[in-house]
Amino acid sequence: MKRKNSSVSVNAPKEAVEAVLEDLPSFITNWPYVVKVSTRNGVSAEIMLPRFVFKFRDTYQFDYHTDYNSYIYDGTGKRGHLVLLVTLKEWQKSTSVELELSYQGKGEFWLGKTLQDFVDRIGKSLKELAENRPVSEELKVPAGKEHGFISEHVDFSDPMSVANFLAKSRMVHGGLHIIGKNGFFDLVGELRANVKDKILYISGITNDGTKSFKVLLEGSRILAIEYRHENGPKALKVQNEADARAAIELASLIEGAFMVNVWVPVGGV
Amino acid sequence: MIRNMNSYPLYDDGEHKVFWLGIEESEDEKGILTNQYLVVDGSEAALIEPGGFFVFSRVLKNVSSIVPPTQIKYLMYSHQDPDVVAGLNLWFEYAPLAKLVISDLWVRFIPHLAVLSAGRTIGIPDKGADFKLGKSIIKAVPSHYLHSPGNFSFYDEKSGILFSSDIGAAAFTDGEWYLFVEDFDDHLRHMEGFHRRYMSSTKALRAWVRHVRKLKPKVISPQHGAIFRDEHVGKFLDWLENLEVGIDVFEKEFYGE
Repeated sequence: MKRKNSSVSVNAPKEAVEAVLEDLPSFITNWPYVVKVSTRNGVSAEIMLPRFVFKFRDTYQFDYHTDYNSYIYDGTGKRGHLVLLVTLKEWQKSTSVELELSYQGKGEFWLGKTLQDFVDRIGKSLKELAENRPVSEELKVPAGKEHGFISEHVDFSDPMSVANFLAKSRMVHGGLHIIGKNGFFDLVGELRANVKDKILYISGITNDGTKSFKVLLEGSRILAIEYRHENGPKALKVQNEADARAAIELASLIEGAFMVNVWVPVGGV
Repeated sequence: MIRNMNSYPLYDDGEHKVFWLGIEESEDEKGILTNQYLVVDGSEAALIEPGGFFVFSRVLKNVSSIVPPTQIKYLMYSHQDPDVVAGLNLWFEYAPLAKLVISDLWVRFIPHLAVLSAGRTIGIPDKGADFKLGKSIIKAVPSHYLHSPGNFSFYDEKSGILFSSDIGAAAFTDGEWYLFVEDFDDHLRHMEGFHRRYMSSTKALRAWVRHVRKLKPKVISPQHGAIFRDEHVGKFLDWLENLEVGIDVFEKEFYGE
């Protein structure tokens, strides 16, 4: 029997990790290289590593056992037997997860690296599922009567907060703009001459894609900003005076020829 | 409900790669789950059938784990259905250097998605067109009236994968999902009803099959359902060639004459 271990730290309470682990069909569907799932007679899943990797393909019928802090997924296939043991330990607001994958069957002596990759990826999937809200919850972002209520949630380090904003917005301007040194607010003034909406979302990217920015404004006040340049991206959500000063400093760094898009909220639920 | 947040590689020769980008089901989709695909050649990428709002988070995450979205050169839309285009305004922002590729027929509809797309839209003429991606070519293959009047499949010459839009779509029953067709005869029960009702013309379907046979695709990857490969590609084309669909089947039922 070949055994491989992995560990992962999940930035979510133990209950969130448990909720993922207890939903057997959903958890197993999200294991890497799962290409078939059926829940008609218990849970069965076909795992097929891509053709260009070492051939590993079987359909496993899964049994599931649990005690107070561990979960066992026992998969019986035609060519082998796969067991995943997941152990949880809560640490303040995060949860540490130990995973042990055992495999006995065809090709087990050749699959060391493959099994290690497999258990690492299961850990990564578990982390993502536990840390990220289900899509159905993301769609329930509260939408108030005021546009500002949606815009308050925009944080450029969270793409879905931007997506929620864009889903209720329309594009009102697109074009090439040259932004000179400390010239970002000149651009805002230029745009404000034609766009009267209080909330503006302005994005820009250079033709070669090396620099880009996203700024959400309420009047002249920056609510959130992201600026990506040669040294990487920096995102800031303004929550206090110090953030506001830092956001203005970041905006003043924006310089170059940008294809600019401007969006305004249109409301809705 | 099925929800697979992982991508799966369909082709990889080191320089040219194709990925399926995961799947998730909304309550109202009734088993007709949407597939999204990413083709990468060198430093350029094409996102095929980017999808609607509720799949955006997963697709963006999976794309970003493979290439920076700024490397997306094309957002390729087979037709104008919401489950294909509804996230267009989001991708317009998150793939800011990408061109939108869609049938010429639907270019005038794009502003209705709240996007000013002039300069970033490529309308595909009815006869189709070739799109250069890195050192490879993606062909827009006419698939009109199957089901949309302005419809294209996309053929990635390097991998031999044909992204077939709604042609080959399947509706899974509750608690069942698979990525690749393995039992073609069993798979028919998931496809037949959809094709008879959604595809509008038997003549159009047979013309498409004749044209696609000349391309000799190794894999056919629809926007819904499971992927055909190996011997199932031929079985699928044979089945389509003998299928009666659309108004040829339903005229009497609809109009009672």
